This record gives sequence, structure tokens and C-alpha cells, in this order.
Amino acid sequence: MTTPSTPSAARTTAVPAHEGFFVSEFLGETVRDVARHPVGKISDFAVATSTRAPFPRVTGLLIRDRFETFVLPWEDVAIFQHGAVRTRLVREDLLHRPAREDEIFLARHLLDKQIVDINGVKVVRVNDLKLDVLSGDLVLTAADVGVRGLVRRVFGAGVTPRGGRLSDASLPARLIPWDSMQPLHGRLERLETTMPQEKLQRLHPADIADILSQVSGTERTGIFRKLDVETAAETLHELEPEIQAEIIEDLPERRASEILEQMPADEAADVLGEIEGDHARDLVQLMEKGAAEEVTELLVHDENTAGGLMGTDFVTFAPDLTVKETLQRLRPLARDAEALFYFYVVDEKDRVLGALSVRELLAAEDDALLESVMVTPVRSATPDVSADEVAETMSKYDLLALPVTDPEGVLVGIITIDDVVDRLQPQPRRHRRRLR
Amino acid sequence: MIAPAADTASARSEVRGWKRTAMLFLAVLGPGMITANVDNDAGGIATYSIAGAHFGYSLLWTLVPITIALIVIQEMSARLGAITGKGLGELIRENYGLRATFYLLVALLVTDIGNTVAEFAGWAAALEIFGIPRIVSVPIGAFVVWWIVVKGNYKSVEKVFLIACTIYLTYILSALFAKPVWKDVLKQTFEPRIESSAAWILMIIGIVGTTIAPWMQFYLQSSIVEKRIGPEEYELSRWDVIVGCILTDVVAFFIIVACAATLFPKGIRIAGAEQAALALKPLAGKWAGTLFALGLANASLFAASILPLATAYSICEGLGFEAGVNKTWSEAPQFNTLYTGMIVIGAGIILIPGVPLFPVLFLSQVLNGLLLPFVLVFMCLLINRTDLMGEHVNGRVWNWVAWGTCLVMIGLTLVLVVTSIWPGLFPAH
Repeated sequence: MTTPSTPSAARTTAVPAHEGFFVSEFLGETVRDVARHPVGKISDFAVATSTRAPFPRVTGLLIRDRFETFVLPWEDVAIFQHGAVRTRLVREDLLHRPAREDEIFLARHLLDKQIVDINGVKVVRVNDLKLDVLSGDLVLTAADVGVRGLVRRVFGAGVTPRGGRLSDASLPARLIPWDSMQPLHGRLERLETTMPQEKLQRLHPADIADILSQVSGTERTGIFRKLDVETAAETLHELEPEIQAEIIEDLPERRASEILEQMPADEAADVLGEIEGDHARDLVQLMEKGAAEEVTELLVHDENTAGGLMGTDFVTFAPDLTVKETLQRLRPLARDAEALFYFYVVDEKDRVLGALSVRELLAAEDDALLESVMVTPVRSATPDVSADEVAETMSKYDLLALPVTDPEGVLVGIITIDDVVDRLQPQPRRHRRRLR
Repeated sequence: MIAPAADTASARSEVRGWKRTAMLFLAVLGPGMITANVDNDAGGIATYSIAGAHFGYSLLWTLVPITIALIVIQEMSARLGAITGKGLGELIRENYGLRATFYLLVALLVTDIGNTVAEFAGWAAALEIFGIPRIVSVPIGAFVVWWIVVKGNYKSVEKVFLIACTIYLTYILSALFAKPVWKDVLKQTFEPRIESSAAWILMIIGIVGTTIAPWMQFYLQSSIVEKRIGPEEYELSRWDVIVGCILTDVVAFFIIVACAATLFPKGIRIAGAEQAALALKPLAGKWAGTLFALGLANASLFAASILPLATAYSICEGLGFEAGVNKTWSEAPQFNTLYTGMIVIGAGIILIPGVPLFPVLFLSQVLNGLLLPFVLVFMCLLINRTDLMGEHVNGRVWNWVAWGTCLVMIGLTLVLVVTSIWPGLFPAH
């Protein structure tokens, strides 16, 4: 970013040996020119978003004088230390540069705002920001979220309420390094460019859900937009239906429908069931045709019945196949199946004749026909059976999946154990916002 | 195959018509109602009792403008919470910096400790009417307060609080037992009369000050956020706020009426709510006095449960500490210290034999008055920021009413503070 007129000027900035600076210690500090005439006071730090450096780099100091606010480029700062910030020019030669499009401001956009502590998996508030000098550049290295930062902000640099030096104080300091913090403020999303990989993406979807449950709506949507479609779908799975719906409603429709496509049809139907009619219709229409049809079928049913619980991800075979043929056909299917516990043997009208677990199939002779090894009769439920009854049946007979059939015995879906496990547990497993 | 999705999706999620509206209203009911009712706490009941006993029905009319002011301010709190999804402390910090927030919250803490002392004082006084000494009643009250919050979750606690709201209706019964002359009551309610004596001005300030307190704005906004009321639910939540404010002042109205009908004609002077309850017994019957005392006990304990909680949350939210009643001492040390500390101090001060309560209550009232203008100005600034509120900023008329209310509140509280420090500024008559 160095311009030809100031070759490596940044590297000549005199910065004393130090253990880092805090932004709060410099806000309000008077900047002087070579002749020691005051130029103005520091009101903020501009940071570039357009570099691929490992840390966000300070591009200039935002200076406020009696008449205006302008950026003093970092290249023009000659001395930067406590009590002495000097530019290498004379006052009259200063270029009063306005803020650039690609600059964000540390005090305005990051201080006092919430960030995600990626390692601690928590949402925390920024009390102060730590700057360090790396090969002549001033860079943002950490956020101070501890009590020490709080005291420094309120009572001024270096002083504790008792009058002692901060460094002597036994106040807990908590610094979150730049590579494990994720800013949430809208404008800071652009700071992502300095990270090779999206930080949030490193978290387990259950942890992301935990974080989403701690922030307000705007920030929640902000975080969600950063996730890739697959992670977004998995994260959504961890949340309560009403929160799922809120998030989906806030997303652009195109992206919302992509995420819904990625989810198992029964869960997508649950989410859509919470969304207001017209909007839900629009989302379904944007979904890929196959997924849309599956979801549409499921939406007919009340969510507290077998029909509402079931998914459409099941595997069927004809009764006259041999075990060997079946195994060959099963292998490619196993890759995509949500949970392949059993498969079903059906007649030409999709009526269920019998069921077989994968273990039983492996144990059978290669040339035996399915109709001779399948288990009958098959326990099943019709779509209108209540969800609690389904849970009871599955628990009683130790079933990992229960087929759902229409009154004629035609297989329309299956309910897997994870669809009902919440009903078998006494406590809700999913995340709410700040349980108080 | 795709077209039917519309009908099925809506069939599943929508129950149409008034039933749906009623269900949704019950779902958002709570924050507005509770905040407004807690407002009629020990101090509030004392103020209204004195107003009725010393001025008869002549101050009833002030409840009309006060209700409007209360609605305007509470509505802004609720709207800020619903649209931004953040507490007031968080919003002030994000937009006006840590230092302002810090001093505001310290003032809130000191004020609310004083208020908590007042609540336990009210609780002790009410139970003494029933013959229970404070050495017994105060520890029990403190334990109940602590237990409700630590053992309950937000939903169940809210239900307990909503039931507590209905106990305020005892004041309506007390007023009926007092057999007021309804023709006079109605006449004076809608016929403003202004006096210029010092006592009258201080009484007006007392009524306004006890009705609009700083902690309420923090508490209401946090509960709206906590209840996950967003922009869509807000239209209904607004009614929760409005109905709550009106009910609160209806209760205040009947407290004034009860005392005005009985104590005022006899010229009985009182200094607190418990004296009103005792004085009511011979004049309006045993039941009137008992119900009055019961209402005071309920109101005091109710407010003593909310105040420490609301304060601890506001402070932790604003300063970025972990907060939550379900968190252990080591997970949320600041929150637990604040919450438990306020209960211990509030109840403890009452138990010290011979402790002068007056300076404590006096100081908290002055601080209340000093803090309120700052809170109101921050609210008015925040709610007009399009970057936060979007289309939900104040309309022009609402803004006039809001700033007008702020100015009147600021003026009145300044007079209160000044006269608290220099009594005798106004001529006695």
C-alpha cells in the first residue's frame, strides 16, 4: 500500500520497545507536527480491509481538529508513543485525506461491540483493542475483553481506581488474539479478507448454534450469512424451530431455499411450518424440484403426527432380488442416505411386504431371494398417528426406524430414531437464547 | 405439485381471526404488565396514600397526564428492545461509549439499592400489621425473593409475577369499602386544579417521581428482548405495555380514593402506607385495612424480587459480564455478587436495630431524580436513530410528546432535587 512518493516511510516510524499499545490510551491524544505545533487529536484508527496480511493493518489516524476530521496516513506518522505522537511534516503540508471506502474504524466499529471468541465459544464485548508493531506496520493483534480493559477505559490509561499502575494491578486481563475473534458488526465483515479461512467455519455446528443463541437478531443473521450452505444447514438443525424460522425469514430468499434444500426434508418441513404462509410458499418455489416435492408432501401433515415427523429418505427393493444383487445396489445408496438402518421390501405398488436390517442382509446367503429372508410382519404407523405414540412404539420395540404407510399399506416415509429422540428425553436439548 | 405448498404451509402455521390474535397477545403478555405493576411498589403506595389523605380527591386529575407520559416512555423502551434485540445498557454502550455507560450504571446500582431497602421496609411494615415481627418477616422475605429467582426459570417466574399483578386488585376493594362519594371523585378526576403551596408542588413531584423510575426502562427493555419479542410481535406487545400502564394507574387511583374518602375528611396525617392501612381499619372496616396491608406486602415483595434482578442484569449486560440466574458463582461472579449483595444489603439494613431509614430512602429518591433525565435523553436519542431503528423511529407527533415528557420530567426532578437539598425554597402557603 506504500505510495511511490513515500518509499517505505512506514518502516521509519519511530516506535519504542513496548508490550503493545491499547487503542484507548491514544484516543484523545494530541498529534504534533515537526515544529511541535498541535495538529489535532486522535479520534480513531483507520484500518485497511483490502490486504491479505495476517493482521488488519492501521492505515492512518483519524484526526479531529477544530474544523474537520481527516485521516493522517500512517506513512506520515514519525513518532508513535505514549505522550508523543508526531507527524514528520509541518502542519501546513499535511494532506487532509478523507476516509477511504476500504477503511474501517477501530473505535467506531469494534470498540464496545460484540465479537465471538472462537476458542472460548462465547460472545463477548470488546473493552479495548491491542495494537502491535510488525515490521514497521501498526497492526491489530488482540481484543481486550477483561476487567483490566474495562478499568483502563473508564479511569484512563495506566491508572486503577486505587491510583496504582495498571500493570501492577491484579485485575484479570483477558486478551483474545485476532485469529480467534470474529467481529459481528456489519462493516467488519469485510475484515474477513485477512483470514485465509472463515473463522466461524472452524467451530462445530452445535457451538455455532450456542453462539447464535447469545446474540440479537441482526447479529444472528450476520453470522449466518458467513456460513457455507452445508454448515448453515447443520447449524440450523441444532436450533429450536421458532429460532430456525426467524433466521430463515431474515435471509435472502435464494440463500434460504438453498439451505432448506440441504436439510433433510422432514426438518425443512418443520422450519417451513413455522414460517408465515406466503413466504413459505415463495421459499418452496425457489427450491430444487425434487426437494420441493418432498417437502410439500410432508407439509400436509400436522407436525405432531407420524406424517409430520417422517422423512422421505428411505430405500426399497423388489422381493425377487437376490441378496447379492441387493448388496450391490445398496452400496451407492449408502453414501447419501441420512440414516440407513433398515430397508424395505415392497411390491410393484410400493406396498410394504417386509423389512430387513443391513446386518441381517450381510448375514444372509448370497443367492437367497429377499422374500425368503425378509422379516414379516412389519410394524408401521399411518401418517395421522400421534408423535408420542410413535415414540412409544419405537422405544418399546427398540426400533431405529419406523415405516409410515397410507391406509392401503403403501410406504410414504420413515421416521428415524433421531426424529423422536427429543420426545423421549425429559429435557429439551436445543438451544434457547440466554436461559434466565 | 408445488402450488399446494402454499395452502399446506399456511394451514399448518396459521390459525386465523381473533383467536390467533388473542393467542399471540397472551404469548407476548408479561413484560409491560409486570414492569408497570412493580412501579406501584412500597414507595408508590405510600405516596398515593399520602396524596389521598392530605389532599383528598384534588390530585386525582394528575393521574391522567401521568398515565400518558408513562405510556409514551414505556412504549419507547419496549420498541427499542423489540427492534434492536438489545438491552438499554448495551445500546447506550455501543452508541455512546463505555464511560457514560459505566457512570450511568453505577448511579443505577446505588439508586436501586436504596429502592430495595425501601421495598423490604414496606414488607416489614405490612407484616407488622399482621403481628409478624420484622426479625421473622424480613429473612423469610429475602429468602423467598432469592429462591423464586434462583430456582425458577424466566417463564415460571413470569407467571408468578403475573399472578402477583392481580393481587393489586385488593386496592379496588379497599376503595369500595371506604364508600367514596363517586360524584366528587369523577368531578375532580376530570377537573384539573392547580395550587402553588410548597406541599402541593412536592406532592405532585412525588407522584410523578414514583411513577416513572429509571430502573423500569432497563427492566422492560431487557424483558422484551428476553421474551424474544421482535418487530413482528411488537404491535401486540405494545398493547401489553399500554394496558399495563393503565392498570397501574387505575390501582393508584383507587389507593388515592380509599384514603381520600376516609382519612382526608377527618384530617388524619400519615407518613407511610402502613399508617394508612392502620387508620383505615376503624374508619372503613377491618377488611379495608387488611386488604390494604395485604396489597402493600405483595407489592413490596414483588418489587424486591424484580429490582435486584433487573439491576444485576442491566449492569452485567452493559459492562459485558456473564449474567444469568442459572449460572454458578464461578461462571458469573459479578452477576451473582450484585444480585445476592443487593438482597443482603436491602434486607440487612432493615434488620439493624434503630437504623435511620429516612436518609437512605431520601438519598435513593434524589438519585432516582438525578438519573432519570439522563436515561430519558439517551432513550430519545437512540429511538430516533435510523441506523438502529429503521422505519421504527419516532414519528413527529410521538417525538413531540416524548421530548415534552422528558422536559417536564427533567424540570420536576430538578425541582425535587433542589428542594430536597434546600427545603423551604417555596413558601409554605
